[in-house]
Amino acid sequence: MNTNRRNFFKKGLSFCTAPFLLDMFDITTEQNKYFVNNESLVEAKYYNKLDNKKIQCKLCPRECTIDNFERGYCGVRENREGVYYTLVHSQAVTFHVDPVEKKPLFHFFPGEEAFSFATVGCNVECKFCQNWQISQIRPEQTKNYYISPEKIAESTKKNNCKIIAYTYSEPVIFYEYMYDTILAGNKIGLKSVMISNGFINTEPLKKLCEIISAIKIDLKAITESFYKKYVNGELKPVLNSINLIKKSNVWLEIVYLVIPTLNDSEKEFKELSKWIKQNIGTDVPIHFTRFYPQYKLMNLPPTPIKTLNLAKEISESEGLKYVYVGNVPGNPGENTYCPKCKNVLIERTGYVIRSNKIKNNHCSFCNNYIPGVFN
Amino acid sequence: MRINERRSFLQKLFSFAGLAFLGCKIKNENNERKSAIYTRSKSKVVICSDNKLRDSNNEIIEERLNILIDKAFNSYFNNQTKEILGAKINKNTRVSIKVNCLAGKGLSTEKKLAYFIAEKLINEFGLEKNSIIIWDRLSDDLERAGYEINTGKGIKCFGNDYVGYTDDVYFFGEAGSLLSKIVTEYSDVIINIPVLKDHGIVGLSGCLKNMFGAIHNPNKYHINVGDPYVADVYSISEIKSKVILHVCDATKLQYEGGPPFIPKYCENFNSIIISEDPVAIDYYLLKLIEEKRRVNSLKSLKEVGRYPHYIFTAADSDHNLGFASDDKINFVKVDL
Repeated sequence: MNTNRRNFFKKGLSFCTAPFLLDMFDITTEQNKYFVNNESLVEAKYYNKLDNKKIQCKLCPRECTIDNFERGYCGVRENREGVYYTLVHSQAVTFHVDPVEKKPLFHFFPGEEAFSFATVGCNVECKFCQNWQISQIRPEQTKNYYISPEKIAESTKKNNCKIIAYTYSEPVIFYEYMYDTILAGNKIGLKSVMISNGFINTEPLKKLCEIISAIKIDLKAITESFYKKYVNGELKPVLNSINLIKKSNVWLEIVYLVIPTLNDSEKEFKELSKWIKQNIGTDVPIHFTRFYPQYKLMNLPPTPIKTLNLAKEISESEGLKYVYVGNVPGNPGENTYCPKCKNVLIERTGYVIRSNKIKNNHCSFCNNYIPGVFN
Repeated sequence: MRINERRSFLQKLFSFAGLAFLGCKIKNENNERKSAIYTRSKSKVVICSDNKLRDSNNEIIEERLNILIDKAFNSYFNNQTKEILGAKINKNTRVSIKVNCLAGKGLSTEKKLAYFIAEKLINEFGLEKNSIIIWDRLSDDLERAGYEINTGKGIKCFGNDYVGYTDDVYFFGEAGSLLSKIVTEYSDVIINIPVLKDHGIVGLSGCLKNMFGAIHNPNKYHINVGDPYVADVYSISEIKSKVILHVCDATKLQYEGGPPFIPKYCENFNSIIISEDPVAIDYYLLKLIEEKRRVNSLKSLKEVGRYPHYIFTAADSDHNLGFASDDKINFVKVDL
């Protein structure tokens, strides 16, 4: 399974290098070696200089202290003689045009396509990571393609996409690249969305929220013990991030991957729903998605559909209005329903929109207000 | 549907059979390793020193280094190096030599040492030059330390980046990593030549930690002062079963500020430390570093929160990599 997925990615990359596709995306075949001169690297934002050429990264709550010629936990930011550099600025490892529903974002321009890309690296290590072949490796271990922020914005427009998506691995670790690309996209009227684990410090997140349009956060569990054991991260900073995003003008949706026996108890579904209701309100969409065995969690079965349906039921009974079931094509839980009249507003099959009855953020049956960015 | 079920059943059946086979293989490797360490009631560590190793310019005198290495081997193997090591190395064996070159020229494995061991393998065991690779994480690291990259004929020298990593993940305990193909495809046995230095996160970089250079994701395993990750990575069967000897380059000792080279914390130690037991060497290095810190009025590794508990984890029954207690190690000190 793992090997197949890896081959899939390799084929994906080969596919991207096909001349017609490179031409379509307007991406140069020039492949930069990551060990280039410091002059051509971009200095990282958010770090402090310490004694003996050490630095302390301030981008994510891990706040790694890094010696000269060492890297942080993410593996993509390196201390060179006391200056901290990102090694992945303009170095995409994969790119694709996806429906925005694939992120998933269900209340943000439904049916639109997003030019989606990633660099390698991640600041946590989920034992169930579905993209570990790019998130858990270092830039020198892959083929990377030089794509400048401006070129991404141009290619997005050229391919009739309205959205740029920072996704697949963890965009926080390619923060500078993402930031510059958002600015380039904003200049020509594009929207930007980040698909993230939310493990980021307050200051960089605040700055990001000033320019980005939507963020989807993967809330992996509602317990610190799960984060410690299966994510190598912490829950509290993620919850802080969710609160901060909600307080900004950025559209927010949450995904909760339901993993059999690890985070799938009724108690956890209730606690999660209560936390959402009390902290960010009942209008924020939440997606309960199906787990498939991946990476270091190959010993567990896929999530039973009934567990996902139960999670949806519990969340709705706690008062959450937009609760979805994901990774189960054809499940009625993929549709958007009006919380007032209960009619289907957006009918979906997988990533395909069958019908959309939302008009100017209102239900076309009962005129109830539907939160989101639909136009 | 029925076809899918049948396919799924067959997949499960073969996976199970494969796992059972793999399980047997790993079990056997573990047993072999156990016998390598525990057939003795004690491990042996030889510390061979020469206070005339350097000239007036503080450069290592190559002839004296070669004598020092020979003396260390002979002391460790009781003048039966060829016979004892010959059981694991013959003229057809592909040997790779893992050095540590992260810290540049100031504190990397001495190039002279790595090449002398390579020549020793050629002269004493009849290996072809082409069968030997001197390697580290990146070719750039090797070059910064003064090594010349050679991917052609002769003794080869390159980083993992030249040949890449395995497609599959190798697991042990909390560790799960792709392995350098130098380990999996280009080596029958590995000789480990680390340096002796303090490490700013995991306390000590010695024999066990040097094998972080064999995995694709070392950045993930420095958390919790490397415990149990350093022991877990070394315990991955492909690594544990292939590393047959540790020759620690202790010509220098850095007791603070590592892993980079910080001259003010680095002293000449003019020694070679040799053993088949990586835990025993690391246990000794830990004592050396703590003593140097004490003498230089620095807080102990324990006090600064960098005590390398992973050394003791490596000695526990789950890892079984060697000994980490005085009563289980025979330290032999030899002065030239």
